[in-house]
Amino acid sequence: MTEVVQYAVQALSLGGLYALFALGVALVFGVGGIVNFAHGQLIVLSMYMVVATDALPWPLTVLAALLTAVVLGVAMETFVFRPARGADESTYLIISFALALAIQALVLMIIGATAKSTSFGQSLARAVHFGSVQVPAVDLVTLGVAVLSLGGLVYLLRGTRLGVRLRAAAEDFEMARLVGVKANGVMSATFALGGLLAGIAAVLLCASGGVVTPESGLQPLLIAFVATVIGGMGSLGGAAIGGGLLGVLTIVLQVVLPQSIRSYRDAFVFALVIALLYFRPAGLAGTLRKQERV
Amino acid sequence: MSAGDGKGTEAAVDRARRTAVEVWPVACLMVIVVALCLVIEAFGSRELRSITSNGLINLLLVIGLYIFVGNSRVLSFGHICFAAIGAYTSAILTIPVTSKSLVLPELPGFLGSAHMSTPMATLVAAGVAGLFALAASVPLMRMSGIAAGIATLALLAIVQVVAQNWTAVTGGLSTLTSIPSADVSVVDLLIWVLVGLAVAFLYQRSRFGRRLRGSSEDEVAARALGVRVEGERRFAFVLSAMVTGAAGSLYAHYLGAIAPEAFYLDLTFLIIAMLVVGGMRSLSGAVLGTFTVTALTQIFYKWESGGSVGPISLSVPSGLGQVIVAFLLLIVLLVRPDGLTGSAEIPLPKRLRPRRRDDATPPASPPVPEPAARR
Repeated sequence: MTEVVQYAVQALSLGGLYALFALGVALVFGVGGIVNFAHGQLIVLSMYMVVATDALPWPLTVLAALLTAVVLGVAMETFVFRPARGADESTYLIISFALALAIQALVLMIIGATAKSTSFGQSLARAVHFGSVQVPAVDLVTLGVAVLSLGGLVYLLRGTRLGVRLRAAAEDFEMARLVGVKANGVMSATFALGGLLAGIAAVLLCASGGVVTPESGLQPLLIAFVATVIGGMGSLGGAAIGGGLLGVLTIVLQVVLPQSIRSYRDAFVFALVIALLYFRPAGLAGTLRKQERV
Repeated sequence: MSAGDGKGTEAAVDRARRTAVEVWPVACLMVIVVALCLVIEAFGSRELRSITSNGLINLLLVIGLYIFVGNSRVLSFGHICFAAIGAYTSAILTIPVTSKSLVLPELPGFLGSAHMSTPMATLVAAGVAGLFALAASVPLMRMSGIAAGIATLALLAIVQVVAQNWTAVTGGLSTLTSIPSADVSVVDLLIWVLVGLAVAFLYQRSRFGRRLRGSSEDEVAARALGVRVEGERRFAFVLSAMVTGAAGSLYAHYLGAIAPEAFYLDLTFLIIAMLVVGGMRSLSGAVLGTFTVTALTQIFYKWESGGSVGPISLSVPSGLGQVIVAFLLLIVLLVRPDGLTGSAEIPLPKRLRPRRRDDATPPASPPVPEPAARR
């Protein structure tokens, strides 16, 4: 019983983290039609910021990391995606792919391939006791932050004027523009929010792992992409559920797979998910994207 | 031939001309590639010949990717996993039996004693990659284009994880050595590339290729005309995986030693960059892009390692080559999204074009208005 609770907390916490990865990607896709490969780079750069500022009091470190991701997210939109606005989805896809690689190559050239470690979040490394149940503090914090972020995002989208604009733009971008939603403003806000989610994820990753390399963004990006596909492209709720599902599945496989094949865990996770998509090609929450009318 | 046959002769000439129009672009490409390679083979330095071999393998990888991406407009980020499968298949089949017991002692059963020549193993590699693609395509090709493209990235990750951990068959993270590497010359590679070009060309002008191209221009209209988009995509996916698998096999023999890392994101990036820079909707684009990007990366690689290219010797920080290629890709996408060739094929000289205007348009699709973008 004790073990089950411990694994459950671990699973939920990983699921929450994965949901954050996925939401960042799904939000930008939902509103802008952009599958953002460079989302992983936002996470990496934000993690490097944590490494660079981990001597400061922790709220300042967090602030610096979040700001980095937000500013870079907005800059990406302004300087790369805005000039290409109106391109079709697959062109956006390659543009963001090229952008991600450009950033990664720059990081590799300037910072180098060696892993950087940080002491950030070391105070969370201890376990918290609830009776006989022991849970790593960092898992609880991750879970809490993820839930708060999801709640905040829901409030923002449902309860604020900005949220209404974002949802309108996601529904029908041209129509939203016709009724007075500023395209540039909406896109900047979307990328700022996406950046914020990337920043939060980066801080949580640093707190639990503490090591950054130029490739650190790959795994989160892969998770985010797969979660977005499982959820149904463009559906925020679907992406969050998809991320959560991946996290839970990962922990479940970690526990049930025999030791000898445990190192194949990620292959099993992705293979299961692809198999699942056979039955629901449009994703869990999705209907196939509205096809143009003829 | 009697005088009454004048009309028949005219028709025959006309048919020949129309065939010429279709074959012209790919024939030009073949001649250019062959000429370039033979000149380098005859006069180039050893180093230049090695670079040429590398370029030819890249070209075959790009052609493989092109067969699927160029015709379906569905981007695949996972094709390099077929190259990995081809490379390991071919390696296992060609490493001499005596060294195999050393480098892969745990290899199961018949694989341990299997041995064949490199060309044979390359064909088998293509087959294995094709079978894997067929299995993968069952769920993948049911998805919408963009979701399928992203899901192929998961496929790449799966193959990577398996290659890193299946020590008995792949040697795991350590480098798999003893792959015979002396038996692949520039001319051999050239033959494979010509076969690849021919396959890509024959496919794209076949009814299957045309249906797929049609569906990529306007999916709704194609479906309305009875095109089974999923089936056509699946066919192209398997065919392109086979070419990529063969290229992976040749790559393994070119290197002589492989590790799973060699078939991951760096190679994926390079191959996609080549295809997109040249223009991903035409074979000419595939060739030009491969040439441009290979030349650029090799020049910078030389500078990064302190050498000189011709008389020019620059000292540049290591990794600059990749930065340059990434920015080139970005700039091409923003300024000229259809690539350097504009995704057109090499046109037939005016003099040779058929006189009749009907159905004699070259196979390179004329500029069709883009289907309305979602925004």
